[in-house]
This record gives sequence, structure tokens and C-alpha cells, in this order.
Amino acid sequence: MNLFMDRKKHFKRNYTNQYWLVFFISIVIYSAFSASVWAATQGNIGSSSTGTVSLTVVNREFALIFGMTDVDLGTWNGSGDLSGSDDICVAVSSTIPTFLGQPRFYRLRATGDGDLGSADAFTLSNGVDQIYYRVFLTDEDSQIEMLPGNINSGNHFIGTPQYNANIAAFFGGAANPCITPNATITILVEEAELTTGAGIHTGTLTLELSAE
Amino acid sequence: MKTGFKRLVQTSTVIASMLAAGGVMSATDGSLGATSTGDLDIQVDIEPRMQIARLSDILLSFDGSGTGDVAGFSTACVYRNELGTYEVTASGDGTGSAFTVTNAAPVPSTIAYTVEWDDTSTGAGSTGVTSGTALTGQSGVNTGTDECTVGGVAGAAAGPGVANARVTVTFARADLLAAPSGTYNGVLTLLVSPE
Repeated sequence: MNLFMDRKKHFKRNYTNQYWLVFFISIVIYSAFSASVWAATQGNIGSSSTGTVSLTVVNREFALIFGMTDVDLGTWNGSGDLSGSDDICVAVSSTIPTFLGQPRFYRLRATGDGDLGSADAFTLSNGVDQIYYRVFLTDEDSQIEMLPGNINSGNHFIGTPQYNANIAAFFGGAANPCITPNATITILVEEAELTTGAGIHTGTLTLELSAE
Repeated sequence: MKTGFKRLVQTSTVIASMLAAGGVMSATDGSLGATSTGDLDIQVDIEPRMQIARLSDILLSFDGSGTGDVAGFSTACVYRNELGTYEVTASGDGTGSAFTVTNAAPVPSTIAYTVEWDDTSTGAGSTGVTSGTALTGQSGVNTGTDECTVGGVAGAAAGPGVANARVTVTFARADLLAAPSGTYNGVLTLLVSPE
């Protein structure tokens, strides 16, 4: 008997909770619908008339990576590694007002031309052979190695922090506005890779920047 | 003041006309007879009446792409119960009725915008307005039965009272780039009055 009563109470409690849940969801949906559809108010006829228009501006996160320059590692003379670098500019929008002066972080994802095992592998090819290279990002604090396809987060800006005001300046700048680079991409081909195959090896490194 | 003077002139004109016609508001009683006829004058003064309706909200999105400013508009229906010009006064909900939108979090931020009014609904005749200052000399009102409220539903899609004005808001690209990311909201109030 007690078990039956407990189940009955349990059922009643669940039923009541579901009722309130449905009611609550209905109110939320109605409110959202009302707010989005009927926010503008229309004026009535009178000696004067007043209407209102609701304005919404979604200022989205945006990013800009620029100042990209091709890297020519030159000719390998038979010993040692080859490396080269490119100083670039990275800028992202911020959720933090400029006047707070807080540092801003960004994410960077690097992908290469790929190999049979990975579409993102950092590879160079002469049309026959592939050789691998490594990629390093120098930010404000240190140099980190970027792995193919991985999103490297928590990167600081180097030099002048790229707050929104700086972005505005960048966007409104000249044809090549990367006057003060704030990140460095370094390409390293180790000696062991260079012993494989001859000829000119080329590839494309793609960098995808986003705000964090 | 201007409207009051105009009404005074109109009233004086009516009175003068009635005097000229020998018809000062004066009821006349009938005389005793087989039938008797009396008359009374009827006068009604209909004040200018206006309505602004059929306004729509404006939703804009900015992601940094493109090169120009970001603008949006709402058409409007302006009705007046007689032919004539009107004035429109726009005001924002920013500090001092400024034209600004606000993002409350994480720290209140604002973005300014500009407002233009066009009394042709095409946008071709847009004129910039200052918050709280009337833009005068606007024309092209709907009159007669062309009210902006159709069947009691303001903003109905069809029927009389078609859109005959447009309000445009513009956000400068530089201001959007300089502002923190987020969703900004504001209210633009439009007041129309007869001239």
C-alpha cells in the first residue's frame, strides 16, 4: 500500500513538474517571439504621433591576418638545417573595451599540403618526393611549435597589444598596412629531410586566425 | 507658435467669411403659423491629426568584411487628415537622447549612429536629422481614408496607408571596428507633427 502511495506521489510530482516545464517553455518561446516580432511600436492617430524602432547591431568577432610573405629557404649546401621566417600582423576584435587595457589572446591554426596519412601535414614536394617541415609561432611570450591542424590557443600579441583601436587603424591603413609585425612564423626543415630527393620543393602553409 | 498663429488666421478667416455672408453663428426661431421653421448653424473644428505606423525593427550584423559603413532602414506610413506638410523629430535612447546603441556586458559600451529621414520612402531624398531637432517641411502624407492602421492592425501588409517615408540608420565602419564585439541594442523614437 505504501509502495503504491509512493508511486502515486512520485507520478504526481513528475506530472506537476512536467506541467510547469511546459508552461515555462511556452512563456519563454512566447516572450522571445513577442520581443523579436513586435518590438517596434506603431503610433496612434492624434495631434502628433510617436512610433519607435528597435535597433540591434551584432558586432561579430572578426580577425585579420596580413603581411604574409613567401618564404624562400634557399639552396641546401649539403649539411645542416634550413630555416626561414615571416613577420606577420595579426589582429582580432575584442569583447574587452579598449580602456580596460587587458591583454588579448588569439587562436592560430596551421595546415600544410598534407600527405597520405594527414591532410594537414606540413609537407613540401618536388612532384615526386615529399619532405616535412616544422612550424613555430613566436608570440609575445615565447616560441611554440605548431602542429598540423591543431588550434594553438592562448597566444598573446607581441609588441603593441592589438586592441580594437589598433584594428581600426590596421583596417584603415595603406595597401600594406603591416608596418609593425606582431607575430613571427618560422619554418624549419631539418637536415634529415633534406637528404631525401633533389630539386625544388614547394608547398603552401595556411594560417587560420580567430579571436579567443 | 507657428501652428497657433496659423490656426488663429484660419479661425479669423472663417469668422470673416461668416460675417461677410451675414451668417454669424445665430440660430433663428420659427414664427407662429400653420408650420414653423427654425434653423441653427452647425460648426465643427477638426484639428489636424497625424499618425506614424508600419515601422519595422532594424537588425544589422557586422563581421569586419567589406569596406563601407553599415546601414539599415525601416519604411513608415505617415498619415494626416488633410493635405499639408509635417515635421519629424527623431531621438535615440542614449545619454541626452543621443543616437547610440548599447552593449551592457561585460562593460557598457556604445556605438553611435546617424539618422536620415526621407519623405518619399525610396531613400533618394534622405536628409540627416539631429536628435531632438525637428526636420520640417516634410510632405507626401497619406490623407482621407488612407490611414496607416488597417482593420485595427497597425503595420498590416496590404491595403491603404502604404509606406510613404523611410528612416535610415547608419553605423560608421570605423566605429564598429573600434567597438568591442557583442550585441548592441537601442530604440529610435520618431515623432511626427503637423505644420
